[in-house]
Amino acid sequence: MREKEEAGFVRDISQPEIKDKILIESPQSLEMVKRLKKSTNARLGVGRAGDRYKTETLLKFRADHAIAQDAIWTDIDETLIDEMGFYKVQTLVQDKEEYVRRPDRGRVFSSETMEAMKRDCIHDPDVQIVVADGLSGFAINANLKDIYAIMMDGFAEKGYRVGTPIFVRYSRVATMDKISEALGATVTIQLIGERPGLATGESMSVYMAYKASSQKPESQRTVVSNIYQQGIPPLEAGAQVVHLTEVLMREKKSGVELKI
Amino acid sequence: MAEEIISAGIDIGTTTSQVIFSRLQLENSSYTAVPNVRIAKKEVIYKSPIHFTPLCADGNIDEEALDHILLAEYEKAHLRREDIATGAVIITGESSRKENARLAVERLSAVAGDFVVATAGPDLESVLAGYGAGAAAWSERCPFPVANFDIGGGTTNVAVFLGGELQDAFALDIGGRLVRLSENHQVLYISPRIQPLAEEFGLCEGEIADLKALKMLARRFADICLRICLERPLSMGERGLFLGHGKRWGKMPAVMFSGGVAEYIYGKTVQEDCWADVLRHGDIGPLVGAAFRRAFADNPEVRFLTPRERIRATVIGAGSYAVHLSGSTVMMAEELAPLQDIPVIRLDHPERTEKLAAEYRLKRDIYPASQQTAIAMAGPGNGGYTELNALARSLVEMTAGEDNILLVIMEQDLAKALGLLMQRLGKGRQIICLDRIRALPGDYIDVGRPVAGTVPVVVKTLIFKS
Repeated sequence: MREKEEAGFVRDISQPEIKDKILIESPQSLEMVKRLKKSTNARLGVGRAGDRYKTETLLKFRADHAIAQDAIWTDIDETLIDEMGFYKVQTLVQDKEEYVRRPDRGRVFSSETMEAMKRDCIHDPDVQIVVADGLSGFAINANLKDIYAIMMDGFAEKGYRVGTPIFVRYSRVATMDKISEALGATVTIQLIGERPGLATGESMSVYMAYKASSQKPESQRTVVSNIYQQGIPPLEAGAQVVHLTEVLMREKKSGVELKI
Repeated sequence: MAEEIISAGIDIGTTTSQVIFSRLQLENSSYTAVPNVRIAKKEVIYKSPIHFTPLCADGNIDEEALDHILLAEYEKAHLRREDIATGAVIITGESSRKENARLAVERLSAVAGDFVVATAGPDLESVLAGYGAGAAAWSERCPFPVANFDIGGGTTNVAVFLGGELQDAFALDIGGRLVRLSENHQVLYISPRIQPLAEEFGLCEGEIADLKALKMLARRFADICLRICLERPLSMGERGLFLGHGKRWGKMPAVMFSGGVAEYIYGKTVQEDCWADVLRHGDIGPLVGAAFRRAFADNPEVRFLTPRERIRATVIGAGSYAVHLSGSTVMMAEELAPLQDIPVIRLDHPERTEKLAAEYRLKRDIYPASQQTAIAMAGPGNGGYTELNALARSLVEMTAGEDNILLVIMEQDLAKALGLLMQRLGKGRQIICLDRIRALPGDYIDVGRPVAGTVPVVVKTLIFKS
């Protein structure tokens, strides 16, 4: 590493390995610090300089914060969405700044958009899949391919009729209710980028509802969260979503009404 | 959500047998629709008295008498056979080498409950005693390894833990009942396994024993164990006391003792010069205990720890720690359980799907085609859907001709996904896919009925291998 730096390379401080380093000088038991660090993602065992962080810790903290900021402020790269052939729509929001300031506008569509969806998409599907950028487009690009593939396998296996997959730009969770109402879906499943934290910018959630409706309270939704490689792996999450879809279909309810 | 299950532990030892019942509290710590079930609390709710293991005249286990003892204990604990969700019956020490041991255990499971039955080998016994004594728990709180020596009538079973994880397990022919004596100091029995050692001290079956010689034998036992801890050399003869294999772990700086003999290491004392006191059990157990206390307590070279359990360590280990819970997202139809004594075939390179069938054939063909086996692996690795699907395809195709359940267990949390893909590719096959379980080649597993969405699994090492 040092040699590389001398050769003109700069270390990438956003790399996760840096967080595994123990910076305490001469700990009483290195073994115990290692074990403690293994038990959590928190920044333990980082030592200190006087009563401040060490430079390395501070830089890593800033780098992680920058990842979170980028996740929120970067428009999603839609290459993958296009490749996968999603039907694309947008909420009333026009740009990222408005998205952050006006959550209300991120929940609804213009009447033209609603009409277009009704015209172009499959009606009355068993399962409607909605992908939303939410607060992290990175999360969608990191997880969508794997979770989508296994979900489609599972739904084909169960014989469910899957609707036109829809991508919503500048979307909050509640857009799934509008889409469900427009298309008459039995179970609506929304994959949305989670608000990024300092641990990862790639975490995704799946919200599911039986006959999702904007007349119903938020508690209508069943949620699977923390989906990313080091959390719930997207493939395993997808298999669980398939299982939950079966449960929702059978019980004809979702969210807090569902006792699982 | 909290759910409770009752787990039974039954230990049929060389000298004594006992039963315990524990209550395992399962807890789902997840707030979302992906459960995360774990054992939140373990509590021993009933401990039976220590019974002498009933033996027939031919030295075999008296199966009928054992059934009676057991049934009486269930009654005293106010539990019925159907109340027991899981647990383990184990046969330990020299008893496991009895001809009818296996039959006795099978019979017990019919009487005691439909739960998983672990017939122990010396290594599993060491592990269970180590958990029951509290060595594993101790090692979580300190930076050095902690070893437990469970000294019973016939064998000493050692387990080494670091950071709560098992590092090594082995057993030795050292025990309190390897020499038995009559009231008038006559040697009634010397275990063939320690015959050469006994001769060294002039001890012979049928002759009147010299108290000094017995004490020296006991001291030698303690000294052997001390040298094992400190990595000092053992003679050829002493190395012969290891059962099956030697130790792999190096130095053991901290030790605790459990088993019947440990009662005399920590609690009870004997007047070592008084024959009557020494012979209270008709064996050398009390002397062995005293010798260990002298060798280890206040020894500056090794930390001498106090166990949580002494004579009951193994049975509590069997009742509370033998059972592992699988991950909470798995694939299994309830009617397929319970499965018992399934040999494990471990695939070392699941990511090399094109070579997987060859690796599997090589390891599978040592078992008869009709034999139910389990395929174990670390996990599919970090690949995506394409890689997982390729693995599912290989697994389904390479087992295609088999008439058994396709049973896959792995460490990585991907069982539901792999199970779903296997089910899609292997239409009509019965499939079980479990995760967060580690099983190694040569292990056997028992699979219990699902509880709160997870599946209890007992991983057993070495069955009836002496």
